[in-house]
Amino acid sequence: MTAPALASPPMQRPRMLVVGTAFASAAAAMVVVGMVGVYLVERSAVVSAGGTWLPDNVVISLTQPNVMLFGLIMSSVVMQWAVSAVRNDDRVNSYLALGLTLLFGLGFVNMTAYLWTQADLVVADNLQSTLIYSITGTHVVMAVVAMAFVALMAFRALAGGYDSRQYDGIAAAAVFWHVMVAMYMLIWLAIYVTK
Amino acid sequence: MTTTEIRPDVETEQVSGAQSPQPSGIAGVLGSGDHKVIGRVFIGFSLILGVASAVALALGMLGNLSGGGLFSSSVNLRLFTAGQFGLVFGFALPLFIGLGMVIVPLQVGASSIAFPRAASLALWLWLAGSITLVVAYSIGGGVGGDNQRAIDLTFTALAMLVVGLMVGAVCIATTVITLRAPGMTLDRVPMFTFSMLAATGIWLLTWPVILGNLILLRVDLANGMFGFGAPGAQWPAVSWSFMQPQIYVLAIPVLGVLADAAATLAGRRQPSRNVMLVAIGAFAALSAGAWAQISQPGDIWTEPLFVVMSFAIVLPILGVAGGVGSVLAAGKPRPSAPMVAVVVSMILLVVAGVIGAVFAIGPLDLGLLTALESGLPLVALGQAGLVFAAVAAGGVAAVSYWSSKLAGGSAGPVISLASLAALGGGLAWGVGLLLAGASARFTALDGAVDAFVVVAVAGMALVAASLVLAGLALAGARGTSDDDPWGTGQTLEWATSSPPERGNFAEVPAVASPQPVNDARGNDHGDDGEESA
Repeated sequence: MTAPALASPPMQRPRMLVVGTAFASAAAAMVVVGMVGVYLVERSAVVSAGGTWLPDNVVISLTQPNVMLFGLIMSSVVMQWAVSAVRNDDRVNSYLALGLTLLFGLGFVNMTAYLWTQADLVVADNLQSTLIYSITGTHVVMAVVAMAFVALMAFRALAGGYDSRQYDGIAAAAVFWHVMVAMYMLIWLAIYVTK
Repeated sequence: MTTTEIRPDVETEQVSGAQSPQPSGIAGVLGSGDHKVIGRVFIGFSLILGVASAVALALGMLGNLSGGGLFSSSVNLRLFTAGQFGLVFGFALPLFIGLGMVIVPLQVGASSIAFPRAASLALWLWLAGSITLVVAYSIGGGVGGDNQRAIDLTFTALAMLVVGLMVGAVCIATTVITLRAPGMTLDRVPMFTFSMLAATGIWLLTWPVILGNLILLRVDLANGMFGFGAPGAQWPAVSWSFMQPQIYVLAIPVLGVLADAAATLAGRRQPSRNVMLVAIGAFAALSAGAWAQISQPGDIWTEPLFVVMSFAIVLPILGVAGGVGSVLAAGKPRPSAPMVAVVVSMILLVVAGVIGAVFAIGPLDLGLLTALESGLPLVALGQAGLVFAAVAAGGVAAVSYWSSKLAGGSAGPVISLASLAALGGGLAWGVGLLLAGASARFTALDGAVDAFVVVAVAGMALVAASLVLAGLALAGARGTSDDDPWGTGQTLEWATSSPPERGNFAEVPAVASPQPVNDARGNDHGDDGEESA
C-alpha cells in the first residue's frame, strides 16, 4: 500500500511588499517629522522672544482636529480588521473593512480642507501660515497616497488576489496607513494642541 | 514582523523568463528591469556628474580669491552650491546606490533586486531630476540665482533627485532583508551588503528631512518668502547635508567595500568580522545628522551631542581601519589596483574623521573660521572635501574590485592612477581649505590665503580626474571572464559568471558561513594564500 501523499506545506513568502512598505513608510514619516521639527524650533524662537506664535486673528478650534484624530484612530482599527478578515478568509468582512477605511480617509481629507477654510490662515501672509499649510498639506498628500494604496489592494482583494496564505498587499497597505495615522497624531499634538 | 528565508515563487518566473530574447542597445537599457543594467547606468552617470560637480565647485572656489574671481559673486555662489548638490545627490549617493543595485543581489544570492520596476523608476526619476537641476542652474536658477522660475525649478529638481534615490534605497534594503539565500542570516551577509543595509537605513531616515525642507522652501518661495525661501535663508536650510555629521552618511558603504575587498585580496577570512559589522553599524548611527541643522537658532557646533558624535565617530573608522590593516598584514597580498584604492580611501577617511573631531573642539572655534569675504566656513568645507575624496577613492576601489561583475573584464592598471589622483586630490582639497581657514587665525598666513585656495582647487580637479580615470577604466574593462578573477573570492558574487547571466545563479546557493565560496572551495581555515601555495 502506498502512503497517502502529504499535503504540501503552506506557501511561504518573504513578505517583500511588507518590508519595502515599512522602509518607504519610515521615509515618508521622516518627511513629516523633519517639518514638524522645523515648526517647533521656529515657534520656540518666537515664543522665547516674547511674541505669540499664531497671529491674533487666527483661531484654530481644537474640536475638529479632535474629531479627525478620533476618525483616524478608528480607521486604523478598521484597517487592522481588514487584515484580520483576510487572514481568516472572511471576504465579506474584509471588503467591508477596506471600504470603511477608505470612507474614514475621505472624511479626514474633507475635514482637513474644511479646517483650512475655517482657520482664517492665508498662506502668503506669514511664516506661521507657510509652515502650517506645508505640514498639513504634506500629511494630506500622505493620506491620499495611503487611500490609493488601500483602494488598489482592495481591488486586488476583490479579484481574489489575497487570502489567508497570501495577504501581503493588505498588510503592507495597513503598515502605511498606521504610519500615516501616527503622523497625524504628531501634527495634532505639535500644531493643533500646542498651537 | 517575521520574514522567511524561502525564496518567492515570483523569482522562479523571472529565472524562467531568462530564456526569452532580450532587447539590446538603447532599448535594452530604457526598458530594463535587470538590476545590473540599472546599476551600471547609475554608476556611469554618477561618475559623469561627479566630474561636473567637482569642476563646478572648483570654479566657484576660484571665484572667492581676493583679487576678484572669474565670475560675479552670484555666479560664484551658484557654482559653489551646484557643486555641493552635485557631489552629494549627483555623485556619491547614486554611485553607491548603483553599486548596491548590481552587487547586493549577487552577494545575497538573489536572482533579482526587490521591486525591479521601482528600481528602474528610481533611476529615471534621479536622471530626470539631475537633468532638470542642470537646466535650472543654467538658466539662472539655483541658490543665489536671479531667475525666480528657475529657482523654483531648482528645488523641484532636488526633490525629484531625493525621491528617486530614496526609492532606490528602499529596493536595496528590501533585497537584503527578504531575498537572502537559504542559510544567510543577517550576521552572515557580506560586509558590503551589511554596509548597504546600514547606509540605506540611515539614508531613509535622514534624507527625507531635506525633502521636507525643500517642500517648505518651495512653498515659501511661492508665497512671499517669509523664512526659508528668502535669498539668504535658502542655503542654510540645506547646507547641513554637506557638513558633518551628515556628510559621513556618504561614506558608510565605503567601509563595506574596503572590508570585503581587503579580505579577498589578502586571501584571508576576516578574523574580527563581527567587530567590523558593529563598527560599520556604529559609524552609520553616528553619522545621522538631520538634527544638526544650522539654519535653526543656536549654534549647533557647540551642542554637546554634536561634540560627542564628532569624537565618537572616529572610533568605528579606526575599528574598520584596524580590521582592514590586520587582514592585509596577515595575507601580505601583492600590490594591486583595488588594494591601492582601498588603502587610499582608508587613509582619507581616517584623516577626515580626525579633523572632524578637532573641528568639534569648542575653544578652537573652527566652526565659522573663514578668510574669505564670502564667509564660507573653510574648515568645515575642507573636512567635507576629505570625505568626498574618500568616497571617490572608495568608488574607485569598488569599480576596480568588482570590474569583472560590472563590466565583464579587468579594469586595468589605470585604476591605480585614479586611486593616487584621489589621494593627492583629497589631501590637497582638505588641507588646502583647512590652511586657508587657519589663515584667519594666524597672521603669518595672511598673504597665503589665495595660494591655499588654489591648492584646494587643484585638489578638486585631481579628484575629478580620478573619476574620469575610473570611468575610462570601467568602460575599457577587458580580459578575464573568470567567475572569480582574484581566485580568493569569499562571497556569493564570485560564484556566478562574469558578467552575471540574467537570473544571476543557475541554482539557489545554500550558505553555511559568511564566506560560502571559501567553504565550497573546501577551505575551512580561510587562508587561501597558504592553500594556493
